[in-house]
Amino acid sequence: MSERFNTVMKEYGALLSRVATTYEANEAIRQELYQEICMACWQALPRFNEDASLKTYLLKIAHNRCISHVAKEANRIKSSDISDTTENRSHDPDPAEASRTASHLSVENQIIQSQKLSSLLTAVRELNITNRQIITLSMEGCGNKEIAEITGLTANNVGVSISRIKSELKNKMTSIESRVNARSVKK
Amino acid sequence: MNTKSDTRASEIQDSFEALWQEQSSFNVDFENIAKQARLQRNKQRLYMAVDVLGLVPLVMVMVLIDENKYAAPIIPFFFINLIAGIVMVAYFIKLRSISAFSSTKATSDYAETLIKQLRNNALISRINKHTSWIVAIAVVAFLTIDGAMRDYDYQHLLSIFARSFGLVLVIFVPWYIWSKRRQLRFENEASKLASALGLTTQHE
Repeated sequence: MSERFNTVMKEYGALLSRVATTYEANEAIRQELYQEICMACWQALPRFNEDASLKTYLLKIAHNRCISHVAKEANRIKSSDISDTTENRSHDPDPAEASRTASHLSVENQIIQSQKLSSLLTAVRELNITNRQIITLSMEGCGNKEIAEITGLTANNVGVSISRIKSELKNKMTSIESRVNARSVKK
Repeated sequence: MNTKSDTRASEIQDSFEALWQEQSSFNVDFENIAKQARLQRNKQRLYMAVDVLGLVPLVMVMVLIDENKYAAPIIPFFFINLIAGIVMVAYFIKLRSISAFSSTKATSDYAETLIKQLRNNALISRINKHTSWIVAIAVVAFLTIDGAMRDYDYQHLLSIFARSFGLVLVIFVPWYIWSKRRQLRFENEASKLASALGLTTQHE
């Protein structure tokens, strides 16, 4: 069981980590949430009967764990209040990753990419939960049918929603980026 | 025209996807996670065993009680306690199994179950809160009336009243506060979750 869990986590750990990022901006709480997701996967793994793909199965568990997290967070201080300070730090590329990409991107480009990623994450977290779930699953490469299975919506509904959410996301990102630019001009 | 807009939409999707995949992930010790998960599973099993074993003393009292030695009203009292205990244990086991098996449901079904569960918990806490002051009044009244029927003098009765009132303050006031906090916590969680999912709540 432990061996299987390790193999599964090596393959899907990053994917599950991105699910946690979708719901939690604060780095410390996000790490806690990620560990809870991993534990929920460990507990549910023996019940996997290959009706769906393992990726779909794990994504369902991860998103459901995050839904419980949203409810529990009602009693904590609003984590997004401190997200502005932790956001940039938590998404700085790690040194190994930076050195890998250094040959392709200039430092300036890396900063721009990092800012874009930061505004994408902020914009995603501003969406309501259902839209957030649909768009992040789509960005993970899930098809409409898979997204429908995870969310409980119909595939048609998902198909219609995706393009609408994408343009909403784009507008939000533009507004976030202009807010950030205005703030840096003020400074 | 359509092809042009489709290409544009696909470009946006690709750029979002590429950006999304750039996120760095946490380095976690999966061996340790598995160990913690195993511990948590064993804890859940232990809690379930404790819930069931908690009924044993009540069953034993019902089986071993000497009807001739004790007053008749005490037998139904234990019987009601036993029935209430069985209902509570069945409910706790149901809650534990729901939380263990609903994690693989579709999110909309999972959220619906969770909201329902939180509202049920809030209702139980509310009942618990009101039970506390009712029991408190009953205890003080019972002890004082019992003293009065035994023809105790005024001083003695006052002392019984004061002691039972003290007992109520120590046990039932914290019980009331604890239940009220739990009720507010569960209501808050249910309403926050419902509004995050775009559902209307009965508390709003």
